[in-house]
Amino acid sequence: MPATLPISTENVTSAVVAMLTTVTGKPFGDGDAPPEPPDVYGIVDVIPGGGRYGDAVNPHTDIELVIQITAVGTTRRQAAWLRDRADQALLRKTAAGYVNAIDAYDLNGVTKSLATEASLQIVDRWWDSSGGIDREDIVHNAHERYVLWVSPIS
Amino acid sequence: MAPDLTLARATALSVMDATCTVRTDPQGRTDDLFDETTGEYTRPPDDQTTVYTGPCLLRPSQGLGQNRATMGSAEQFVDRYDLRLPVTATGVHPGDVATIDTSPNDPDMVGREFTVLQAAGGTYAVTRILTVQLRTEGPHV
Repeated sequence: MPATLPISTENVTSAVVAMLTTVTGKPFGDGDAPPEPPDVYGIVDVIPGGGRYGDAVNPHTDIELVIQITAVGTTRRQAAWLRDRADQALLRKTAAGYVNAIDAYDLNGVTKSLATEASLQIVDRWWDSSGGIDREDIVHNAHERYVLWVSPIS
Repeated sequence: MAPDLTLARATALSVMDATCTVRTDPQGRTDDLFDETTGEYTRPPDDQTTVYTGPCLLRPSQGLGQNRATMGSAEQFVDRYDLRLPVTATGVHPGDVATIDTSPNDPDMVGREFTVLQAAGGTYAVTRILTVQLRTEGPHV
């Protein structure tokens, strides 16, 4: 069995962006502000950290991906509002599992447009740390960091 | 003997071919209503007061597009203009917002909102000179 390619983190962040946009009702951008940003929006960034795990044949089957979610608002309250909703969207869990699925696709020989179903699963997600809320010119930014444990669906 | 400014002021007024409205909102966001469902603010009734409406003259005061601000990963152009009003226009303060209502010689200016940074006058002022700032969305790269 040939070794698999590393998981594309771009696909994971795209999936997180799509989920957060749908669940919070506010646009999120992947590493940048969404086009024509409104008063309230979010940004998902991959930040340093995490790791790759696997066996001798497939040394990077699974990854731990560290992301930062930045909630942007015109006031501190507005930024905190989106921060809290994004946090709930990402981590809310029932006995059946996470409430909001993150459907990600990998690129192991399959282009994204050809993928018909999720081929990666977010096995677990957890809060890592908070960067607090800071002011930048006329907006406020709330930063929260999370870890996603991503694995191919076997 | 004090100079007679009547002619100078009338001449300045004659070239103010645009009209604008200046509104003030001293409370800013602090008295706006925050909707916990949508995360948006709603202005209460009579949130803004009109402090001036009438003729004005707008012109760029710096090289446009040279000043940029980045916030929340979004980039904006921040351009300064001079907005001249008749010297009889009083009560305009920094933070007020000027909106261009009509502009026959440059229709693209209509509807643009400028934040007042400074309102200058003087004993022998011919016009009220407002330094105003316009923010527009910058390049999305």
